[in-house]
This record gives sequence, structure tokens and C-alpha cells, in this order.
Amino acid sequence: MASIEIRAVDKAFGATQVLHAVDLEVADGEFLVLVGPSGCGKSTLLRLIAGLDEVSGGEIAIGGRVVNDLPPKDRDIAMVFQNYALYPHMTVRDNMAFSLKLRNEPKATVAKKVADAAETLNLTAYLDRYPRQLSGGQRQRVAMGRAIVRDPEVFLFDEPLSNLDAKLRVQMRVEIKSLHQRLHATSVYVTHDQIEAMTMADRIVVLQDGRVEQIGTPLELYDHPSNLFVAGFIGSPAMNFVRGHLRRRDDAVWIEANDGTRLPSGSGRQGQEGQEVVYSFRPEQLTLGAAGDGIPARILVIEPTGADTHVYCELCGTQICAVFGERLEFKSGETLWVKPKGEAVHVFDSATGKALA
Amino acid sequence: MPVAPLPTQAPRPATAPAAPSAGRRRLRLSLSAKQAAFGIAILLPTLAVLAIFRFLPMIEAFYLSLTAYDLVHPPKFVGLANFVSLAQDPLFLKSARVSLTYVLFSVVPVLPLSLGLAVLFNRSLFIKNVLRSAVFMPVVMPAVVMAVVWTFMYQQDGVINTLLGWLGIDPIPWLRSSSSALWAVILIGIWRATPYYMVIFLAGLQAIPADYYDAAEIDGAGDWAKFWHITLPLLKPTTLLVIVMNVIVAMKVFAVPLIMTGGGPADSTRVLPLFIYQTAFEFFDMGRAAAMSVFLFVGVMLFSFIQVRMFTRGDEQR
Repeated sequence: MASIEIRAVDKAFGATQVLHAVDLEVADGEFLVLVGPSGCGKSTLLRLIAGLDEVSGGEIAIGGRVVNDLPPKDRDIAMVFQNYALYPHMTVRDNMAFSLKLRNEPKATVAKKVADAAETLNLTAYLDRYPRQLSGGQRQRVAMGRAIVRDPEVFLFDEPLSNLDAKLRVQMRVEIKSLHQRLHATSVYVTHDQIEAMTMADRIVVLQDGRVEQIGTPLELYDHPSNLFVAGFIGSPAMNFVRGHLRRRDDAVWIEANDGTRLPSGSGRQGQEGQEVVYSFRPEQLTLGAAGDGIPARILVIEPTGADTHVYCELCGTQICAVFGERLEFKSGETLWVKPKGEAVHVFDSATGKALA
Repeated sequence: MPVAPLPTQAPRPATAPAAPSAGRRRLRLSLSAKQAAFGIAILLPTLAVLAIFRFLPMIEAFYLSLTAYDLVHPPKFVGLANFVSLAQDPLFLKSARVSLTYVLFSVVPVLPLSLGLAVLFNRSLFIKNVLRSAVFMPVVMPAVVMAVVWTFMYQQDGVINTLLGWLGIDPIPWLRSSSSALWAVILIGIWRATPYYMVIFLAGLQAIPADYYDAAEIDGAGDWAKFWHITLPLLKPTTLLVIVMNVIVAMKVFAVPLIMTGGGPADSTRVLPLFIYQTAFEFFDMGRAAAMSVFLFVGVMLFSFIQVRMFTRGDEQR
């Protein structure tokens, strides 16, 4: 296996700049997830690592070797595509053996590698079938088998689960993760689904408009988003945002929401008196208070999910979502009294979107 | 042991709904029957036109092939006499041979040529659109105009012999020699068919998802391996279409040999359609001409059937 280094990589298609000086390192054996909304450049970055597109500037190194001018076949990588890209005229066996045959490996070796990969992925019974005779999940496994047989240094995944239904997606997510734990292969995984990113990644890279917004472990990103974009993108239901101004009197610091409500900002908050800010907290970071104790929130909709209760309500003139790990007997129109957990709130500068420490 | 009853459907009402009054009774059709009726209604005009202008003349031709008919006297039933006579007619057998030669040598080169051009034009290429239009020109040119232009080019002092002269090759009596006339006509067939089938191949190429090529590239395939292992197999349906269409069109070639050579010299370019035309409208032997048409029809059907079988063998389980 090998590490990947991406140094100041730019990519432009004609006049459109898709990636802006992206710097990134993927450690040996790491499972790195690139996440971001559609058009943020995550698939482009993956294609650049694969060698399917050429960089416009910067350097990509795999295993310490700069691969900018190497074709995909010489980069020792394997890639799993969004729509599997299984050759429709070849059987599962031939699909998996294709790369090995092109390398002129001995027939016995090819047969053994294919059989081993098929066994790992529970595909032995399907080796003589054509892709169209397989279900979505089986096709996905064949696509992974095609990657595994090559025993590459790096695995690249381009939204491999987005064509599967919700249940299968969860199942395949676990399979890919356990496969990675078995093979310890350096992997770069592209997705727009932040749940996939959170559950699978060793580290997550959040991209927006071709720029890296933040890199960190899933919980680092969840607990300490560096800006408004990451705060809003990571987490489901999404983080709540309330606009207001920072107030500072002597040693006390609080946020005054636009409707005048005083919100606790946590201790030692930086920022200037009167600074326009966005006050943020996760849906589960609210506690219920007795009537008159806390901030009033008028309930709009209640969604009991079984395990917990999602309450959509209006707080400080803004619609927010609160999640409580208990079953609540409230009705829409009633008022809840809630208190944000002071240490878990985030305050972002309204103009720059950057977090205030 | 008492068993708890399973929930059942609500009981039907005791009384049946009132039957519609006799005066307002309408034909009740199921949804699928209504859809089928609508489909048939849409198809009917086309079927009627096809029946009148296609199927009836075909049936008429089959009937005429069993008669002796000179356009003056009424057709006289002669059974299979026309077919027996054709089987012993050296002119007909030669004409069939000429047609087969034309089909073989005009169809086979068109495949690699049209596919090659399609692959070329499928890539990003300087002034691609201009070149593509230029290559497509022969398809839009009327056959008569084309035949006249090529006749000039094939003349003793025409463009082609002039070009050959520059290469040090003696002039060839293209249309005046029985050994070269058919090749001259075949060359035009290739020139005319190639761009047409190129467009069909181009459509086939553009329908192949780019992901397959990306996957193949990562698997280590070079340009040739990608063409051989991805492009060609995935173009199989297009190739079948091109071969079948090309064979049918080549078997029906008529205008070019009629205008350029009239079937000569020494019957060397008398393809079957031309012979059929001459038998019917120059020798006024409609029954014999119809028998030749039936022969040609069966030949085309047989060719097409064999090609389809060959190409689709093994596809059923895919």
C-alpha cells in the first residue's frame, strides 16, 4: 500500500476552474472520504488521482512517486465507478480477470486470484453470469472484485453506493468498511452523502467550489466545524443557525439574537462587541427546561422516529430542529422551553463564515 | 381449538349494482384492451398504406412469377416453368454471379472503412465538422448525378487515369473492359455507402458510455485493447444492422450500372435488378422478371436471416 500526496493541484476545463490549489495527504492504509455538494470538484479530484484527467497545475504523488505524467495503468490504482462500469458483454469472471489478462498473467494465477476475490465477496456462484443478470448489490460487489484482483496500492471509489436503495446502501457501507479493515488498502472515497462520510471515513475532506473547507476525523468535523459551510453540511438533521450580535460586558459574553433573546455563548468566546454573528447548535444539543426556564420555542411539527423525537419549532424567530432522546407528548402550537448546552454551541462570524474561537 | 379469524375484506354488498339502462349500454373494455385498441387505431393508416403499396404488389409479383405475361395478352399460369427455365439460363446465372460479386466486394470493404472513419470522427479532430460534412457528401448526391460524374472520371483521359498516369500506371479502360467494369462500379458502391454507414457507426460509438473506457484504461488497456475488447463487442448490434442493410442495398443496386454501363461490357456489370428491369421492360417478359424478383427476395431474406443468426448466437443468455 502507499500514501498519496496532492500538492497545490489545480484543474480547469477551458475557462472554468474546477479545483483551486488543493493540498492533501492520504496516509498509508487510510480511508479518506471526499465529501461535498454536487459540482464541488470531488469526482474531478478522484479522476486526477486515477489519471483519467490531467492536472492543470500542481503535483500528485503515489507512494512517493510523482505520477502526473503516468497513465492510469502505471499508477497501480483500482477504481470503483458510480454505475459500476462492468463490461456488459463479459461474464463476472471475465470482468474480474480482464486486467490480469491484459497484464499477461499466467492462466492459473488469473483463475486463482479471481476465485479468491469471488470467495471474499460471496460471488463464487455468479462467476458465469453476465452483469445484467445480477442485482445492484451483486454488481457493486463485482466492481469491487475487479478492483481487488489487481491488488493495487490505492483504491478509489467514485460514489459507489449512490445507485443502490437505502437498505442495500447501509449493507454495502458495512461491507466496504470491513473489506478495508481486512485489506488495509489506502482508499479515497467520494460521496455527497455526509452520513456515508461520517460512518466510513478515517478522515473527511469537505470540499466546496473546488476548495478544501476542512480536513479532519468525522467527530472533529462534527464537533468543531471551522466554518458555516462545514457546520451546515456535516450532521443530520443539520445544525441550527440563529442570526444575532455578539455582546460583551465586562467578563460576560453572550449572543443577542435579532429578536433580542439572550443566548449563552459558552465561556471565553472571542469577538468584538456588536459583531454580527451566526449562533449555531446541533439539534441534539438542547435540553428541555421547565416552563419559564430557558428560551421559548413554539412547536411547528413533531416527528417521533421511535428511538428519539424530532421537534421542528420556532426559536428567536428562526425555524430550528431539536432532537430529544425520549418520547415527548407535546402537540404542535405548544411552547417548549429549551436551553442550548453552552459548551457545545458554535459562533461564526456572519461576514466571513469562520468560527469564532 | 378455536382459531382467531384473520382480517378479511369488507363483505360485498348483498345487492349487485344496478345494471345500466338498455338505452345507455356501452361496450366495457379493460384498460389493456383499451390500450391495445388505441395502438391498433394508430397503426391502421400506416398498415393500410403498406398493404396497398407494398404487400399487394409483392403478392402480385409472386403470382406473376407463376405466369407467362407479356403486358399485351393476359397472364397465363405456367406453374414453376419460369423458375426451371431460370435455373438453366446461363445469362441469369451469370447475372446472379455478378450480383454476388458486387455484394461481397462492396460490403466487405465498407465495414472497416466506415468503422475506421467513425472512430476517427468520434475523436476530437481539427475541423471535424467540415470534414464530416465533406465525407457525407456522396450520400446526399443523387445516384444519377453521381453515375454521370463518375463516368466522366472513368474515361480514358479522365481524372482517375490522369492520376494513375502521374504514378506511372498505364490508363485503364475502366468501363470499356469486361475485366474492370464491375470493379469500377463496385468502387462507386463503396464510395457511396461508406459515409452513410460511418454515420450509423458514429451513433453506435457515441452510445457507448465513457465509463467503460475509463474502467478499461484503469484495467490497463491501451487504445488497441480498448477497441478490440470494448468498442467492437459493444458495437455488435450496430455492426449487424450495417451488414444487413448494406447487403440489402447492394443486392438492389440498379441506377449506377444502368447509367454507366447498361449491364455491359459482355454482361460483366449486369446485376440482378438490372437484368430484372431489362427482362420486364425491354423484353416484356413480366413472368420471368417476377420469378427473378422472387429469387432475389428469397436470397435477401436468406442472407439477412443467416447474418442475424450468426450475430445473435449466444446472446440469449446475456
